[in-house]
Amino acid sequence: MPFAGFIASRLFKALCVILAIAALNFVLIRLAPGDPASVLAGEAGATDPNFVLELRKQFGLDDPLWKQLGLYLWKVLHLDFGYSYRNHVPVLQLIAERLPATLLLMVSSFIVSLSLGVLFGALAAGVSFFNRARWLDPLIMTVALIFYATPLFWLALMMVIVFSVQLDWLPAFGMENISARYTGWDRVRDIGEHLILPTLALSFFFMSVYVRLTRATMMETMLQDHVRTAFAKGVTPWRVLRRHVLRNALLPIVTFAGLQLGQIAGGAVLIETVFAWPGIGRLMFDALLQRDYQLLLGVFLVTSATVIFFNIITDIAYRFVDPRIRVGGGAK
Amino acid sequence: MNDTPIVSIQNLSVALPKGGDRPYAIENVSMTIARGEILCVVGESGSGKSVAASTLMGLLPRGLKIASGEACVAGENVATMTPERLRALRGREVAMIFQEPLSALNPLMRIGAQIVELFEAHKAYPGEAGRRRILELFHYVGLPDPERLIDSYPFQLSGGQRQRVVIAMALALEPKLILADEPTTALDVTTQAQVLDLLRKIRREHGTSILFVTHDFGVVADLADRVVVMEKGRLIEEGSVDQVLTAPREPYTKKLIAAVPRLKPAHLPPPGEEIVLSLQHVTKTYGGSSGWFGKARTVKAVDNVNFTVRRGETLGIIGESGSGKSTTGRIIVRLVEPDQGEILFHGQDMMQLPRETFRAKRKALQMIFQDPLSSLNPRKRIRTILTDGPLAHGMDRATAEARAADLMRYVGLGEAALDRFPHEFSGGQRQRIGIARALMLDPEVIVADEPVSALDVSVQAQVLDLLNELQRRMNLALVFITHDLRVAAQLCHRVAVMHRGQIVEYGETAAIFADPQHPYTRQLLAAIPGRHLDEISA
Repeated sequence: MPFAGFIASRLFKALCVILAIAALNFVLIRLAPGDPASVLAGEAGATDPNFVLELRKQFGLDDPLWKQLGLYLWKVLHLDFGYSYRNHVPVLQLIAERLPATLLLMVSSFIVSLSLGVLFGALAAGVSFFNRARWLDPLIMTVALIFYATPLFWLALMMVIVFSVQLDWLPAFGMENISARYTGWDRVRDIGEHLILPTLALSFFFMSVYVRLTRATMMETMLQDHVRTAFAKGVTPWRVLRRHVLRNALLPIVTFAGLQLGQIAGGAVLIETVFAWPGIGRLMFDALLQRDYQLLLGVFLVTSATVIFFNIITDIAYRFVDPRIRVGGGAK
Repeated sequence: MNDTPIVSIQNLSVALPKGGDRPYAIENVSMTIARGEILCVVGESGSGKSVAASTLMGLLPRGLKIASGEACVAGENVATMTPERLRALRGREVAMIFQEPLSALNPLMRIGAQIVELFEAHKAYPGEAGRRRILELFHYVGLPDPERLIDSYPFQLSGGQRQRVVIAMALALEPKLILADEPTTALDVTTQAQVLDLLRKIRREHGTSILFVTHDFGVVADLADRVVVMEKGRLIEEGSVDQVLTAPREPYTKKLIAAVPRLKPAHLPPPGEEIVLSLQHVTKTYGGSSGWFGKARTVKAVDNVNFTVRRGETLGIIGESGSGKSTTGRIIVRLVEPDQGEILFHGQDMMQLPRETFRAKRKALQMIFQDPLSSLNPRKRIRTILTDGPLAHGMDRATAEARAADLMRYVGLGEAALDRFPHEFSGGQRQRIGIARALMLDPEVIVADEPVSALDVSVQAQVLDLLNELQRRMNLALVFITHDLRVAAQLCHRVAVMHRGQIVEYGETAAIFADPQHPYTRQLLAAIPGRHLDEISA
């Protein structure tokens, strides 16, 4: 399929999925007991049922559900996510303020876990390929297993204790030192320092998965016939490893990378709480506690859209690494 | 010219890892190859015939080690070479052609780039010169449209084309020696004939020596100057091709040669009159589902196929890969639903039957599959594998088990085999289990899809004998799907030759072999390796 057609079809499907998710979220939230009107009334200390009815009428909550849903979807299509009565700002504005912080954390942890994971996995497979320094293989695999098994939040807390409290190398929480009023490169450096601990904490689990996946697929690829062909050409082992083994082992890694990008948003809630990172995970957590339904719906929608977006990116990456998908068609 | 033989292997032993069924993969093997000579190494699976070739490249599989002796290429011992010297040897002085053309090329690299990599490794044909050399090679090995192929990926090429690419790669730096490890086994018979022609041409025009590993005495008869025969890691016979084929010394060699099915159609007892199975205008089209923006491509796998099979008759469906022969077989037992046409079983159209009624009829139509390993559930005992079908059809357990025991004795495995698992058996034994499973339901029609093509020749002969005998005894209608015309000649009363989904020729085996009418049938018959072999042994 030509690239433009592929993109067009994927984008159209993505839009349908997003609308379906929006509808589902909307209905799910309405299934929860208590509507915004009763929450607001309860907090205001009002016990007058007429006041609640009044509120419902004011917010359109007395309309039938399908009508409310229709209106909601219509507004979503026009990028109007509603108004957060808690924070007294439009939902979109709140999300726009918080999203970059989460994306920064996600992307940096994605890059760190993927690159380090593939590097160490390739190293573990490589030492048995070259039959040198073989002890590295079990060492790497054991460390990977430990990171795999350790709970994320515990690791995060330990890192704060060691690197911030004891050694005082890195800041323990927040995204930047606001009181210092850094600008330009100083600010970039400041944010970078704040980024290190949460990124690492978020990366270790996925890194160990990449280590194991990379090693396993490379070991399998080494046994394939075309690797023997490469040796029979007189190609150096280093080049065989890079061009024939690693390159072919990347396919399942791309699959998993797509999954990770979807998962990371969930993991971010925990890490953002531990490190007081001003991201969308915290926003969602607060919205949940405060029963800020409009905001919650908005956050759900934006995180779903992010996942779908990264899925499309994965599919495009697939076309890039696997010519069988890019070129299409079989023999003859 | 240099007088030292290009290959000289002296008392070579290669050790297997500890715990194998024998200590050595090959033991005390000596052989030489003269310059410009084609030596065929013949043996069955597990004979160690490929090991000598891998040794000469320094490419022994993991775990195998040279224990003693030497393997010299142009007088230089491979075993004592430095890794750098070995790399310089590989591809430039010695090149290898592998058995599986489908997996021998890197699926993610363009064809041209894979050959350029060879040039880079040996600092030959830099830049544009490399591309010119590749185009020249592609012309030489007879690849169509080299300009397009050079930038294609392996999956865009057919098996035969890929094997030509591998051969072109082997030729690229004009090596003195080509090691070919069963290079035609995975190919269709017509493609095999072309590849053998190509190898002969390379030897004639470049004086290249070739070590050709094969299990097929037909190929040996067509190609070899000299032959060595290997059995269980030992070299048991050696001589010129005429000497080995006409006057073999060793009983094992005699057995191997005798096991090659003869081309002269066998005299078979006449089949019955009653028509059991009849296919009429059967058509099956495979179509890629059309995408949202793309147009669907369709392939007519089976195109208006008609034939009948009588009681006690064997009908051979002959064709190459992609001819639609397997799809036809699967349609008969309705593993694949045809788009059109009728499948008449005793005159009744099976396609019209409701699902429930058909299920009861299904036991009369059984199938034997090509791959005896993957067609048996590895986690089930043979007893369960055999009795599952009859139990599903309502036979009581005692009767089913008694029948299973009878059949195991009948196919020559004995009752004790019932409590074992599939992996405990050899390929030939597994195929016997496959046959027993098909017989459990007392079928009237058996479809056998290449049941012997994964087996060694000597085992193949035994399984064919078994099939022949049971068909006679049980008066079965047998549909035998094969690419091997020798096998068809020995087993089939009539044959249907399929080409691109259509039956191009259909009739008595003897008549078709003696006087083929369709050009494709003639081409197939001409491509059979070792016609020479039949003249010698006749």
